[in-house]
Amino acid sequence: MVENRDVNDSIQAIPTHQIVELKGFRDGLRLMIDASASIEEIRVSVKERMANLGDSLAGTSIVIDTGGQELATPDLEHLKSLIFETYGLEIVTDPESPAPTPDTQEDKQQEAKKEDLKSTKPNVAAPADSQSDVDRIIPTKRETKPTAKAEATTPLLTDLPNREATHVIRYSLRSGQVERFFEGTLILFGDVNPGAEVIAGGDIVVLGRLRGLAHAGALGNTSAIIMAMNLTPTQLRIGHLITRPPSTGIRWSKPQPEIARVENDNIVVEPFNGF
Amino acid sequence: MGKVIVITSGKGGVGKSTSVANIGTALAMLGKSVVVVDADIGLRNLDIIMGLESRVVYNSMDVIDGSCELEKALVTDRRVENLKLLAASQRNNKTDVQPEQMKDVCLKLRETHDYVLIDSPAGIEQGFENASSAAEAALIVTTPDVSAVRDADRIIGLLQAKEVSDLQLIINRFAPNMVKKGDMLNQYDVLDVLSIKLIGIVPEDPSIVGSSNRGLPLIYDATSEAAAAYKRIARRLDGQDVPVPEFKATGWFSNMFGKLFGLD
Repeated sequence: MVENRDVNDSIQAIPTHQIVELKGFRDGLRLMIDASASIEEIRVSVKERMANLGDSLAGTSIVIDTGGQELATPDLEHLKSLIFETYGLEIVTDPESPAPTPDTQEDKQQEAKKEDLKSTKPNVAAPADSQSDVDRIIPTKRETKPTAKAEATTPLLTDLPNREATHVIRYSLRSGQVERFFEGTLILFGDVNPGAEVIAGGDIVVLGRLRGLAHAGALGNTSAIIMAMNLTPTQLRIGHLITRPPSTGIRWSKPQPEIARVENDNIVVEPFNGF
Repeated sequence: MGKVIVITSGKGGVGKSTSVANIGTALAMLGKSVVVVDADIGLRNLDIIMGLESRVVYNSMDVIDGSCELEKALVTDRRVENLKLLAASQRNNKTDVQPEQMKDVCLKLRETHDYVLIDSPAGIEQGFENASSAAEAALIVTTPDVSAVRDADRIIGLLQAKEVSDLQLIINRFAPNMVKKGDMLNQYDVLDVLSIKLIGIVPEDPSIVGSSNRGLPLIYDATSEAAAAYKRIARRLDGQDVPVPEFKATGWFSNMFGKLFGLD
């Protein structure tokens, strides 16, 4: 019942110094580029980074951020068309900072991440002071390697870096409605009806019934989880993986909180018994 | 000052126009002054269902472009004189009308009538925008099908985004025997997804087809359960407290006597 597409090795093999870095913000994405690299290197890195992100990102706005460094105009144009045409992202000119709202740090403690976010600060496009607000955001990680097998099955939320951008929604989503939050965790007090979508850069927690589509770790983070009080989705996506419930569909068991996460490149769903 | 209510569904063929004709007639029979507005421009048929086709001279398009006074465009019902119809233009298109124009017409009608019921076209495009532009309340019609419920859910989301907050649900073509067999959603499944207030359940009634074709709203059929359901809906809409009966599946015995529904 779990179909996994395409094992993505780029998730494992991350060079220590990244030429491109993709970050999620409240309403969109920021692609940070080390403009000192050659355009060819940049192009390859962009492709690598964007691979397998799926269609959840289509239509999202993206800022190309060269960290103050100049990028030759033809190169920039080339990049823009690559990103727009290949991935369907809408390029917006840098509005200085599509910034994190100040309450980002306070919202946290609802629920957090499992991954060790201690991830070496991406020194990539962080030259200038103007970048400081960007740095406040904890990158939704893809550096997390699905390390030892043992670890994949052990509780994931034990080691909390306890600070993470969280977006709380206090209403139900009806068919056709979409909530996106690339910056971190999305918590929804309500239902996600069939035909509605929730997309987050980090985890998704639905304190209600999840009957539509949920995409956690939408920027490629396969250690994100999806949790719901009643998990009967039409489709679940974590990172680049997609799964759907068995087509026999109807579940007779009493609804209980369930959690979906990635194990060995499969999305598995199990009852939630605490971390 | 009356109330403007849009009757809408998202999906087509679930019984919007039938509901408008019957609820409008029932409200008029309660002594209210009612005007029903066909907002399905280009595909008008509320006039047919109400049996008023041959009496239509002007339509809402004529009112909007100023070639006819609003009062003059209203067609009086054959049986209940405090029921009027504002027909849609059949030769125009939905995009020929702007939501503001429709809104102006409806707000004017509201000044002189207790209820302005707007028959929305299916879909979520401009026709729906026009129909819902003046609405302060909405009746969402759905049948107990997964796809109709999905579309109703979408429409509810759109109406809520327009800040139409008084939303009530009509479950139409409800067939208790199919629910019993597990072939149809029951009302609880539907309400579970849509989570808005239920104003009534209309049981499936084959005679609705004949009544629409004859242009005689079902409501005049004293033996019809569906007609009784529409009458109850009208009374609830008018603020009366009328309980929703439980529709039960029938066994072979009651079927033998041709009774379709065992009420209460």
